[in-house]
Amino acid sequence: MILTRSMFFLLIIISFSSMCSASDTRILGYLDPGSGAMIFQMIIASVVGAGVAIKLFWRNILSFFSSDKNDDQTEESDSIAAGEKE
Amino acid sequence: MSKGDLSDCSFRDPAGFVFKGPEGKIYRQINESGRNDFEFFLECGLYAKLAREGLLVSHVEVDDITSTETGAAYKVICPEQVPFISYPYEWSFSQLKDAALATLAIQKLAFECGMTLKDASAYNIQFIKSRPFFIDTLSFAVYQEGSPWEAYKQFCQHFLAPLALMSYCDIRLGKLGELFIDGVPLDLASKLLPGRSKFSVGILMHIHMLSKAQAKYAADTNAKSVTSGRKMSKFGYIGILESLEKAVRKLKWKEVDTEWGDYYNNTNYSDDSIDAKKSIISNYIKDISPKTVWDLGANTGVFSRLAMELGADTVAFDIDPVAVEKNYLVARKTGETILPLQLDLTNPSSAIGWNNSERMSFVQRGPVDLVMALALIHHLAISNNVPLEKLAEFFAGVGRNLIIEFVPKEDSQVKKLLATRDDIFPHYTREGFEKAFNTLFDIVNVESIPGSERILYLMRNKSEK
Repeated sequence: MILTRSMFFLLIIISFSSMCSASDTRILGYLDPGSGAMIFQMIIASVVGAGVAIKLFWRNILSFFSSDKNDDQTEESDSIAAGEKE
Repeated sequence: MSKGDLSDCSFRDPAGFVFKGPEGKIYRQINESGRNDFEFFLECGLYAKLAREGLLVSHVEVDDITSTETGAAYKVICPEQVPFISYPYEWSFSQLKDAALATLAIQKLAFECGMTLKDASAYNIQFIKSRPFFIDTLSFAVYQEGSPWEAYKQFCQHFLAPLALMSYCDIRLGKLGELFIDGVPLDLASKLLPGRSKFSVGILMHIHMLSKAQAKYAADTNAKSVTSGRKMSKFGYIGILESLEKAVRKLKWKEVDTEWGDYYNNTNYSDDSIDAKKSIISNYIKDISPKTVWDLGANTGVFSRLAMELGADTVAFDIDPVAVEKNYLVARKTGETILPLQLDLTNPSSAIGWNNSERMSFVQRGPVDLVMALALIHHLAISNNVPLEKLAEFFAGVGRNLIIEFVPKEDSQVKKLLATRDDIFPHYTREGFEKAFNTLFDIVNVESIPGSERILYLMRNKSEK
């Protein structure tokens, strides 16, 4: 549990830092994207991006456990099938 | 080698443009400046994926057709032809919503392939077989790592703002698109939306807050330097797309009972009369064998489907947003070829945009092989005081043939219209009607609808001889 929480925070920190790291971005130039809209996107990207990161993270955790569960179920159904044969 | 005329609807993008070739077919020229993006678009598999999923019109490359501006040409493609060009301000709520979701789905797939939509105009979507298709093959650009989505604001203006206004305020606000060709300004949308819309995170963020941010940074000359040093993560990019999708999906239109929404349950037609009317109309349509049909005042498209079933590209126009919505939802279920659209015949869509020629007016998109005007004429002649001669002139301008239903004063529906006003229509008689239409049309067939006072005419435009 402690491990998952720390991984959680680490992931958020990573996603935040990657969102704000310095690098040149090219503007395609065909459409006027609106300076306010570009800045605003940068700001909300850190919030909604963290949401995506958390969602993916949980999905992985859940799929890890559900695949374990599925394995158990398969084993169980196998044993039932085997029992019926007996 | 044939040369085609340039179209007035695509001149902003330096990467290419659309032009009309022989037989009125639409072609797209790709300029040298659009070459890299276009090649990447094909090579990365995005084109194949979008075409396969029915999100983008497919195309073939042609080498025997050129535009009149060949200087910068790299390639010419012939896209799948759209049967009828419609505009967002003519769509029903669900049509606009489906178009918004298709645009986001396309942008997501593009992002997965390392590309991005460089614009998110609702005009890039057209309906084919009741499905929204993206038509601008040149809208895809190679994604630059760390860039925000340039078309974010445009998406909010073209899709989210009108949908939110239709959902929270009034369905008729969908028509705002005709006033604002680049979508509803977000400050206006923010002003018009009720306070409760702020409880929706998506609307709060992508309309109210975005509008504030726009106002804050509009005059900021340092704004560019703020963005140029920053990088947006892929998580952030996907997060914005998912948030927009969620906001769009949550918007619903609680159907209201309008004048026409329940029309077919409230007419003075018996089932037998309806069947007889259908059979007369079907026979008339078979006589004409039209390729293109406009059903004006189509309601939910009961009679439009007779033309559709006989293989015509049929557009079902109606003034009532509920009827158009119902028609679309039925058509969408089975992918019918019918296209339901909203249109007020007393003030049809105008030619708008640059030089009044970017978007075509309703009349400019005709003439068609057959116009159907069923149970319509009394609304135009009596409720709207349009003289019969003017009606004949209008129909002659948009149709080569006409199926028109004359609804006399003895009919209960006309009696209702005249109940609250003086009868100032002495010429509104069968004789007056035939006299007015005879100047521009040849009357080919006349049949009374059994069990009613109404008469169905099949007419041929005299100018078609």
